[in-house]
Amino acid sequence: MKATHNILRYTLAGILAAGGLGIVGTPAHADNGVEPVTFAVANGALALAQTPTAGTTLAEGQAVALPITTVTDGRAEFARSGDWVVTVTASDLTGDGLAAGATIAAAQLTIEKTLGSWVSGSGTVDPDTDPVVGTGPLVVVSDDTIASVFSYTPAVTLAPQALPYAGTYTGTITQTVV
Amino acid sequence: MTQALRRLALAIVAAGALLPAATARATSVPPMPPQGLGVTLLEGPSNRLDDPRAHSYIVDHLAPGTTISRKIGFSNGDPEPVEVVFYAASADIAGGTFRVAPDRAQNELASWVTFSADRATLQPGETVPITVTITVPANASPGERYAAALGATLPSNGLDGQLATVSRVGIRIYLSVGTGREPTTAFAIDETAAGRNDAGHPVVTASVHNTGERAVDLSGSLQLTNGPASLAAGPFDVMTSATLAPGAAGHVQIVLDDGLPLGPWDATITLTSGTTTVKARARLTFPSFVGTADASPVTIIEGADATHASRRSPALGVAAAVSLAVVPALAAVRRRRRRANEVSM
Repeated sequence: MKATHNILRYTLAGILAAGGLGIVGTPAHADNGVEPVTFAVANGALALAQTPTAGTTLAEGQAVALPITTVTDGRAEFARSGDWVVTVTASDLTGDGLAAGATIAAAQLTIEKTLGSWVSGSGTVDPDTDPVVGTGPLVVVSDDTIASVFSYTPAVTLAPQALPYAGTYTGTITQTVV
Repeated sequence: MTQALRRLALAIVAAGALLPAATARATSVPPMPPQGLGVTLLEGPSNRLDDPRAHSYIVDHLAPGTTISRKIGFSNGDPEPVEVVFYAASADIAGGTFRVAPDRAQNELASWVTFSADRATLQPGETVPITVTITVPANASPGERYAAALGATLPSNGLDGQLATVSRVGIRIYLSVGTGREPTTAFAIDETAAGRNDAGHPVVTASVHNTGERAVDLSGSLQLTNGPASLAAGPFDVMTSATLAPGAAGHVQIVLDDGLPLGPWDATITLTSGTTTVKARARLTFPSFVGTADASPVTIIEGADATHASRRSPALGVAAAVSLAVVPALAAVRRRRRRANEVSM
């Protein structure tokens, strides 16, 4: 009788624990003898969207708008440090047509966040972030609210060139949020 | 009594059997993911259940020769299908920021990471779970390494543009390698300074350095007490946080309401990284003019909190002397949203 009580108690405790903590109990791979168990994270997504309004055509010494970029921080309250960073990277530009074979180094491109605003929610955008030359942090945000949405339009400027060949150059701008 | 117990047991079993079905029905129509390409960590190690960082990032300490796997969800919040490629890239911590390297740049850690799929086409509203496996070689040297598990769109041109764009989203990986106990997570608040920024707002700046052996992601709050006429205010969230590598120094800032009396105040600043907390107190008076700092002694009133790491390490508890510091001016200021302006007698 006492044993039945205990079994029930343990069963109930097990159900409550599993439900309350959300522990899946899936052993992760571990080849060193340790068997770490994983829990299921109840969390939202951190997302980045780029909405092109037109193709980006560079002009030397002139800031040109890149697609409107939107970052949504849907991470849950507990599972967030409240900060995210967007790193931007430019590839080298490669020439086509008359400029075939020519390359403009990524370091000739400067990318700025320009104006940004909170579509919903709020947070602190680090004002000390410098314009990025080639590669670097573009937007650094701290202490944002749950489900906050920040939107900005980066602009890219190509330094004046002494090109051996005039022509069309193509490249890629990558924005990464973590 | 026995029958009653049997009925109860049956009810529990029945409830347990029905729960998954009910849950499945309830979650069969997941909410639309946020616009664009999204990423979510879907699982973490159960020994870090109480560590907020382990709910957003892959944070672990592994012995050489260990293999672990974690599920990451990649989502498409756009109305069109999107093709996404998955890979790991190296990362570092500099200037208080976690920075992901360009393209598929590799470091040791990135080279240890593999994905259950190289690419996938995400339908509108779809979230695809991808298993990320980290295999630490048996001859890996001790130390912490950084990388990111990434999903990236293919290059997309606008209308006849020269520049294509790529969106990448990722989960940070902070991986410590070594045998035995996990290296210490610890940091110190060295100085605090009161100042006033260009916009006329009082600012409290705390200089912090990472005294441990693991990176820290700092956040926290400030509480003001014993102000003029016994005023109290706060807590105010840290508005400019920092990620610091072991040995690195940085600062966090709290910007306050411009209507705040000058003081003096007892300022208690609480900073946290994961489950490690440090609390310091100082007597501060805000200057009435822009760009001037006021220095006051700082006393650490709570050291590194007990964590899976710091439990095995000596608590941080060194009282720090304060030197004058100039508060960097903030170009943009916003008012505290949740707990701001809570000035009370």
